[in-house]
Amino acid sequence: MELRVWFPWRVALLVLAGLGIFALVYVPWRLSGVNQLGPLVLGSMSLWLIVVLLATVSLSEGTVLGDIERGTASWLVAMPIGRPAVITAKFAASSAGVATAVFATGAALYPVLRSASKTGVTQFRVDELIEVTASPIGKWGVFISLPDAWTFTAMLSAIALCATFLVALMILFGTAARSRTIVFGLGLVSFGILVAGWFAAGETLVASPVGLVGAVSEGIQDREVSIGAPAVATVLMSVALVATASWRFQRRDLA
Amino acid sequence: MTRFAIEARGLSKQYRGVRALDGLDLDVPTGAVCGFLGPNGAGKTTTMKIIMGLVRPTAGHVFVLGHEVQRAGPSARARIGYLPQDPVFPAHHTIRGLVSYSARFYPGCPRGRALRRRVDGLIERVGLDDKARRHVAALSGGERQRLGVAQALIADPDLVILDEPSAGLDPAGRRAMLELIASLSGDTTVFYSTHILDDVERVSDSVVMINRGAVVAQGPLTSILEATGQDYVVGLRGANDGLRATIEAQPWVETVTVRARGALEEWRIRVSDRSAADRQLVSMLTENGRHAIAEYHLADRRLEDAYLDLVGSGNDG
Repeated sequence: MELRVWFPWRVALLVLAGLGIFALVYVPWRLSGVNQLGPLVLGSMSLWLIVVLLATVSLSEGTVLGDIERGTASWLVAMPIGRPAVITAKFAASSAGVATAVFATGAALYPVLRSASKTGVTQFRVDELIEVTASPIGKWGVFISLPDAWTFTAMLSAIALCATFLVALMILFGTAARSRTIVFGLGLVSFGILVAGWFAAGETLVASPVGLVGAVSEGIQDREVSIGAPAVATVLMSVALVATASWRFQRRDLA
Repeated sequence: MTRFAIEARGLSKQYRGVRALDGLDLDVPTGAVCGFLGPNGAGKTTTMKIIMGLVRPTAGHVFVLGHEVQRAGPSARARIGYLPQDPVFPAHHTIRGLVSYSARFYPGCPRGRALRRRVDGLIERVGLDDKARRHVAALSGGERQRLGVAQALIADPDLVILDEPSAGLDPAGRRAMLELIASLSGDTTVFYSTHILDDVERVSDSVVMINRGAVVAQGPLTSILEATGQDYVVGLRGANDGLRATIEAQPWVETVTVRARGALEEWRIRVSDRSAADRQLVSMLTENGRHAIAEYHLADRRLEDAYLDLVGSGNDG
């Protein structure tokens, strides 16, 4: 039942949003004639990361509270199903939905990026170089080449894990709060902390979900992506959040 | 098998300063069809939700089929079917799909063809067989009620808890619901709440009355009716106030009301001890031949009379 909430419509929505974000960056890039891959990769991937995380917050805010308010949570729990099982199922289904959307979008984008990279670096001109390096994005991305498939997959994994962490947070908020607006607000704050945390204290927080944001940022800038420590930390933290949510849900009156 | 399908002791529930239940003690005999009565806000739904583990009590304990609800795991609900007030279901299921889906969670439910037969049988039993493929979102309130009953019975439960099962049903639906409840009698304990006292008199063998979060009466229906007094209706000619005072002074007389009815006075005498009344009332009324009794019979004691005596009229909990 929980999978049905995400498949197929929410996953399709996320994939379309990702492709739409890419198109928003790709079309001007092609029309501008700037033959540098950097702006394309940096722009599209950065925007896509933000959209995926924000969409996860938005689509997850009613995961628990929505069921409680509608009364379907009571219907489910009145049957011989443990409340922890309900929370675990919600987490598993939401995570599977977000991860599927991320990897499906990435699988669609990578061939386009490869095609774009073939007309990239080898054809730049001096006047283009001046124009590009003068822009904020150009300073970062002039000589970016396309990440290889493994690096790109690692970046997708980082995005998916980051979104999964947000799902766990939203589920916990849903078991504790009484209002979906509050849950949504807390989700936005969490998103802000994740993204701002990398810029503010990225080196310190590398073994955390903030490190996953950093991994994507490193990949965009054609640097080595180090996902191991932040991935393990994020998985452990997500499990702890789900366990806490189960404990909280166990005590909640479904009146 | 335990003697009581449901036992509650000292059950209390407080919601932000509002005392929904106040030391409720409840016993529902195994195999009984037990009507749960009380005014709006008395605590009926709260009691049922605590029994089902949906709400945690502030104090007290409740045992269902021998298991303490607060300590038992979800498997304790495997033998219980529950219909909440205003049932809500996931909208994307069809009627048949929802009942089949629910069966997955009950270990004792059959699978495969046997399950399909049971599902079809239940859907027919609740009168939804011509709508089995309709989506839940398209159902009326009464149809959702019936679907809820079908789903509550899918695992052939030992205990069925129904919160206002007749609410939202048309007269034919209400009669079908009562017949269904009556059909469960014996094999299954049925504990149901309702405001329709006639329904309770028709199908129940025991009653629990609740007001302001506490039980005010419980037991076999006949005992409830007898315990709250019996009314003797007497038509007298020529009686006087002195006679009334004499009758009222008797310890086994609760109240005497008198009204004129043509040439007669109709006396309605509420007694607490019927045997004493049978021995003494007639001779007292006639004052050894001074008054003529034109009419004398025991009024039919209705549950409504008992309910109003115990709970009061128009007193919300």
